[in-house]
Amino acid sequence: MNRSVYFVIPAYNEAACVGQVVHRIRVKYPNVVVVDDGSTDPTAEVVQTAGAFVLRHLLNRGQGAALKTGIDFALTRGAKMIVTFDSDGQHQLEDVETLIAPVLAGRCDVALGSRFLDNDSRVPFMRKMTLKVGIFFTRLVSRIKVTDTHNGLRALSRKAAEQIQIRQDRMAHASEILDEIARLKLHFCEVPTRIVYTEYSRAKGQRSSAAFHIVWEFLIGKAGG
Amino acid sequence: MRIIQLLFVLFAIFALSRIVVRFRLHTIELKELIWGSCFWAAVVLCVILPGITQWFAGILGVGRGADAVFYIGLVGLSYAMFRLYFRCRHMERQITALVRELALKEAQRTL
Repeated sequence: MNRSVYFVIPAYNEAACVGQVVHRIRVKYPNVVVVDDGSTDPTAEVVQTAGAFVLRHLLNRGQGAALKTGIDFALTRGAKMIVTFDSDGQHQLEDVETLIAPVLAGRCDVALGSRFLDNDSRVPFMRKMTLKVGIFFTRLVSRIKVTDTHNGLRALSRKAAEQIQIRQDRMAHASEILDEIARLKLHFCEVPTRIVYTEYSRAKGQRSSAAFHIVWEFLIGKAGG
Repeated sequence: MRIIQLLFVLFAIFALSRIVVRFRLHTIELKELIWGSCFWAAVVLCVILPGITQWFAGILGVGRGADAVFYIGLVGLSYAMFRLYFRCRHMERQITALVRELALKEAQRTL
């Protein structure tokens, strides 16, 4: 049991899946923080039964906002490391071990999951194209060389979690985190992780067309808006 | 006076009366009363004396008075829209901060 690692899971109307996700994680990592982001279904109750810490947003504020709430909470509880994890079951728990290893060993401050380092993830074509454009955009704007972007599986050392400022409430937070890593000159590494696209996760996930909105939000935020 | 002029003047008087009422109810400040009154007074002047916009268009180097009003209106509206957009963003952030604080307080209380 690893008590120094805190999992932070933002969840919005995920009652159907998040309980199972929490159960699986808690076998090895007992500290799981789920931020119920204003769900209208029994997400909070399901998560509470599964034994996670539950924080409730009274209004839906977006994934970025929920992540920040969860990270703030984990830091006040004395977390040494924070793993951000999706609630829809598309991340694989087996990947966490390899993800957190370099951070635990002090080789880097942040470990980022990448679905493109190996070809195990069967990424749908449109999603793949959108992500490739996103990767190019990130390299151009944030000057950070990554092979994946908008992958919700990351491991942050306490130092990194304290320093990274998430101001983007909605989906642009993923670009913002990469931007912050570059701005703060944090040491980062990428670890191959597998993403399983299920009917459920695809239905719940964002559409590729949301990319335009994310770019707009990110650029406005970067400009200080 | 043409009907369109009459309609504009009546609307400006209505808008002006709303500003005065709001000031009396203390929902707007004196500064806003003055700016609002100046704006609608200028609208009335331009409607009654269209020569003013023509004279202004000459200064700006635009052909017609109506064009000058249109261009200035467009710039003014764009500015107002951007101001509103950023104000909305700021308010969104404040709401998030509030929601977060409540969530963290509640967690501290119950856990």
